[in-house]
Amino acid sequence: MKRLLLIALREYLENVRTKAFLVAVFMTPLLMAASFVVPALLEQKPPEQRAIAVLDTTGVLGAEVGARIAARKAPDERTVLYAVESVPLAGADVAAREADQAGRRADLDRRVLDGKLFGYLVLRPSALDRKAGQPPSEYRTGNLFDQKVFADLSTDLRDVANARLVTVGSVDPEVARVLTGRPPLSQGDVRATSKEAGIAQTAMPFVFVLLLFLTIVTVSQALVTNTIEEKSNRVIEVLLSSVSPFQLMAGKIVGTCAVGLTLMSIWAAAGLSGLAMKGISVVSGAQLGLCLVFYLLGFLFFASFMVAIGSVCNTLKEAQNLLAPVMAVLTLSFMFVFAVMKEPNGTLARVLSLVPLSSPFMMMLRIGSTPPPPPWEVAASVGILALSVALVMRAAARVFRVGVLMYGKPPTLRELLRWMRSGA
Amino acid sequence: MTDLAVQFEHVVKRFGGFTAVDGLDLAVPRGTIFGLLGPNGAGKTSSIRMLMNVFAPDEGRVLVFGEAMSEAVKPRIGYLPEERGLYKKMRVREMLRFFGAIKGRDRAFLDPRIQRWGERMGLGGWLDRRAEELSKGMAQKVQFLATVCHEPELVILDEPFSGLDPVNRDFLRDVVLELRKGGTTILFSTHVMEQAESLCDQIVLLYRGKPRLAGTVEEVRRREGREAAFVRVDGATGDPFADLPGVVGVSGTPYEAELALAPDADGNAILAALLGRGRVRRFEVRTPSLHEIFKRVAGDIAPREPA
Repeated sequence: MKRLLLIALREYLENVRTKAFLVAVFMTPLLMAASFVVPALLEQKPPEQRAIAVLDTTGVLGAEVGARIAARKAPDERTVLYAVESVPLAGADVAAREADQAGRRADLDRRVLDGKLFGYLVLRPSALDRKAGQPPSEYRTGNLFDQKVFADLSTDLRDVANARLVTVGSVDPEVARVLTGRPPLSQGDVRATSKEAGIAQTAMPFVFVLLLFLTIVTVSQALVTNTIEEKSNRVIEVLLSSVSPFQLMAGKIVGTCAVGLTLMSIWAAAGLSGLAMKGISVVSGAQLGLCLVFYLLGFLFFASFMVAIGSVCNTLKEAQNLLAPVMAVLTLSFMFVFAVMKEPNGTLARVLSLVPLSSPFMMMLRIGSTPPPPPWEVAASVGILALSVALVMRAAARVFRVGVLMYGKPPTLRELLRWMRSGA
Repeated sequence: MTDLAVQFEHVVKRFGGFTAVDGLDLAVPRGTIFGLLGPNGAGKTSSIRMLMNVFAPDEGRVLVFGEAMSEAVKPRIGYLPEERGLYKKMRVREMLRFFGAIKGRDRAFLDPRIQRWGERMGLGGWLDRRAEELSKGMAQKVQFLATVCHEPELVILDEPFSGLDPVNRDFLRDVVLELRKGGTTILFSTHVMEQAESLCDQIVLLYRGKPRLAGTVEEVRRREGREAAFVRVDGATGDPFADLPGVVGVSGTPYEAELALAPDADGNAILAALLGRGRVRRFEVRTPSLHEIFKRVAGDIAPREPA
C-alpha cells in the first residue's frame, strides 16, 4: 500500500506541477465563461445594414411597412438595421400590380444573388383580409439562416396591417390593442429568491456535468500520455523491479484521480464562493457529496480504459486510434444532456443514468434538477457503476500487466480480450 | 537461509517457435560477481528478465535468495535494465529519492547516500537539474545510482558498460568491485569479454540460448587446454601473421594479434618465423583470452581481413 501511494504521489506531483495543469485551472472556466459571453457580445455588436426591397401589390401598405422597417435600430439605438428600397409597381388594380411584380422578380433574384440586395418583400391583400386560400405575402432572400430578418419583417407587416384595419374602421381600436398584445407573464424558479439565483439554479446541474466531463476527459488522458512516456523512457522495467504491475497501475490512477479532484475543488470553491458573495446558494452538501461519489466512480471507470490503452501503445499516435472510440462514447453521452435537462425523470434520463458510460454525468444532471430522482435510483446508479468499475479495473489490470512490458505493435482486439480473460 | 543469491534450475524460455534460453543452470553465491556472457541475442537479457519476473520461464525455475521472486524480495534487489530511462521532467535528486522510496528506504537513509555517490560520480551540480538536461553519459550514471543507492543485497546489471566512455567504464568497474567488498552480490551481463575477464568471479557463456562454458574465468581458460600467443610485430612488409606454423586462428590488427595455437604448436618455431618478418615487440604464450575462447565456441572464427 505504501508503494502504491508513493507511485500515486509522484504521479500527482508530476501532473500538478506542469504548465498544462495551471492552464487547465484558469483556462477551462475562462473558456466556459467565454462560450456564454462571446455570443452575447456578438449579439450586441450592430450587424451589417441589410438592403430590403419592398413591392406592394395592395397599393395601401407599402409606404407604411417600408417606413417601419427603415426605422428599426440595433440595441445601441443608433445603428439603422435596414436600408429599404421601395419598388413602385405599375398598374391600376391588384391584378395589374401582381403582373408587374412577377415581371420584376428575375431582376430582384439576380440582385440578391449578387449581394446587392439582402432580400425582398412582396405584400399581398391577404395581409389585410387574412382569408384562407389567398396567396401569402412573400419574403425572399438568399440567407434564410438569419431568421431575425424574417421576424422583423413579419412583425412590421402585422402591425402596419392591423393599424390599417383600425383606421378603415373594420376593427375596433381597443380590440386591436388587446388582441395584438401578449398577456404579461413572469417566470421564476421556486428554489430561487431572485432572478439571478434562478439563472444560477437552472444552470447549476449543467455546470456540474460540464465540470465532471471536462475533468474526467482532460485528466484521464494524462494517464495515457504518462504511461506511454514511462514505456518509451523504459522507466517501467525499473518500476516493476520495485512494485507489482497492479500497484503501479493503481498508483497511477489514484494519483491522477487526485489531480482531477484538485482541479474540481479549485473550480467549485471559486464558483461557489463567487455565488455566495452575491448571496446565492444553489448547492446542498448532499449534492456536493454525490458529485464527489460520481466523480470518483466515473473517473475510475474511464481511467481504467485510459491506463489500459496507454499500456499497450508505444506512441501517442497509436493511442489515438484506440482512444477515438472511448472519446466518441463520452461525447455521445454528453449529447443527451439537454434532452435529460428538459425531462429529468423521463425514460431516456432514467435509462442513461443507469448505464455505466453515461450514468455519472446523467445522474449528476438529474440530482441538480427538480424533482430530484428517487433515492433508490441514485443508489442503483451508484451500485451498477461501482460494479462496472470493479469489472473494468480487473480487465484493465490484466491488460496492463502484459501490455506495459510489451514493445512492438499494439495488440489486436482479439489478443486484448484473451489477456482480459486469462487470470494468469 | 541459502548462501546462493540467484539460482537458475534448468530454465527454458521460448518465444513462439524460437527458444531464447535453452536449459540454463546457474548458481550465484552471495558476495560474488557473476558474469552472464554471450553475443547479442544469446539469451542474456531474456534470462535476466525471467530473474526479474518480467516473464515466467516455460520450464525450470528461478530462485532469488532461495525463493521465487516476490514483492517481498524486490526491495533487496537493484536492477538496471538493458534499455533504461529516466523521468525527463523530474529533478535528479527527487527521482533518486522516489526510486529509493519504492524500495522501502526513507529520506534519512537515502539523502546522504545520494549526496555521497553523486559527488563521487561528478554529478554534484546535476542533482538538482531536470533529467532531460543530462547528457547520455550523465543519465547512465544516474540510472546506476538509482540501482544501488538503496543498498540492495543483489545488484543485477544488464549490459552496464554499453555506451560508457573508457573513464566511466573503469569507474563503474571500481564501483562494482567495491560493492562486492561490501558484501553485495552482483550479476551482470555483457557481450564484451574483456570486462568479464577482469571482473568476474564466475561466468556462464551463453550461445544461442545454451550455456556453453561455465565456472571461474581461470577454470574456463584452463579447461580450454590450448594456448594462445599474444604478439606484436612492427615494420613488416606484408602480413606478418600469415601462414605461421601451428597457428589455427588470428584475431587483431596486422601489428598486434592473438594467435590461436594448435595443440602441438611450437612456440619457438612461430617466433622464429615472426623474427624474419619484422621487429617483434611482444611474444607471449599463455591461456587464451575469453574472447578467443568464445569465438572458438561460437564456431565462427572470422578470417582476418588482409591489411
